[in-house]
Amino acid sequence: MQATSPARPRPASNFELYSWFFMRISAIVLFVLAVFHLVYMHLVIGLDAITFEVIAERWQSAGWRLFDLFLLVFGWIHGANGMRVVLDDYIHPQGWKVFVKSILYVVTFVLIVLGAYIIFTFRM
Amino acid sequence: MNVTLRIQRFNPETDSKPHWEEYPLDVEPSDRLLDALHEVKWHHDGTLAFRRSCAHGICGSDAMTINNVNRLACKVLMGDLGARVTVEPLRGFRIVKDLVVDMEPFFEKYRSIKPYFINYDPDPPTERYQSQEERERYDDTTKCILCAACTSSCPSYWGNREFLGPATIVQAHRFIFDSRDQGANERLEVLNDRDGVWRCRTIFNCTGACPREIKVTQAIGEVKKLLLFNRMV
Repeated sequence: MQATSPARPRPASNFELYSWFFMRISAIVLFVLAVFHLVYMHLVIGLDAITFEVIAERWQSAGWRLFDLFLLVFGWIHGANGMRVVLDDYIHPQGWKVFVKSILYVVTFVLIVLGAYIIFTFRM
Repeated sequence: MNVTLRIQRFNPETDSKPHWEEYPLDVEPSDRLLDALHEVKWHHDGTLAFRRSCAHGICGSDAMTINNVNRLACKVLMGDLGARVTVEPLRGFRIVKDLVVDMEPFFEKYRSIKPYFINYDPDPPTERYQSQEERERYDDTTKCILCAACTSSCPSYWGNREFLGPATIVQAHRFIFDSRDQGANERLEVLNDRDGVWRCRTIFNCTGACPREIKVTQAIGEVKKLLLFNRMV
């Protein structure tokens, strides 16, 4: 009979706490951004009217570029962090975990950088 | 009333995997499922293995999955279960035999959060006083009987057995929010981990499974909130 339990590995940081808090805050931000985006694109512009020209015209305004940048960054980080947590739940072999998470992080990084690059440098 | 008890059986010495066996019984609607299990064991098949001790919903020994819900066999009446009753061992734990599961991983996690009173002050000459409001603060989580119905119903625990599980967090809550206890930080260190409170996804299965009707998810939420306020501001 074991008298005391072996010490569990102690967390070195508050990373999971920040991650949890970030998910809550970013969920609220994304809710506002996504609902506004949905209403604007579907109801104000209208599904049939969404063309390259409409988006290019929209991006003449710095505000819209900033809006899309927020949507890009918050959407990807929120989604990727959620995915990281799910992978922790269901992939147990350490090698596979590192492999799949590496793909996730690289894809997230590349697409954020690529998206941001386009948002910042787009010209008509 | 006539019922069919469908029990998941597993004998580690002869079976490679669990199988189902059915037992037609004549029971009273006021009988508990535990009485029906006794009927099987004492009069039909003596090899059936299950845990029970007090038989009155206090010791927490006979938690099992009954008609797909985790409950105590001694607190469920046959009249409430229908004519066909499915009984399985708790999910998420290794089956030792029939309805008996290996609870050691559960208790190992329980011990990790130091589930005992910690106070570094010199012993007072009298009891350690506490106001009614201070006592009320953690009243709900004192009701836990460690039956593991919550932990075994938790999808996060099914997914990853390293998760401390709801029962352990409930037990930690009971001491963390006790005004006389001084071990909160030691316990929060253990809980502030990927496999601590942060693996909880607020699925609420635990709250539904608790035979003591503890608001388990709320207790976990209170620990998360305390960690947030403790560590971030």
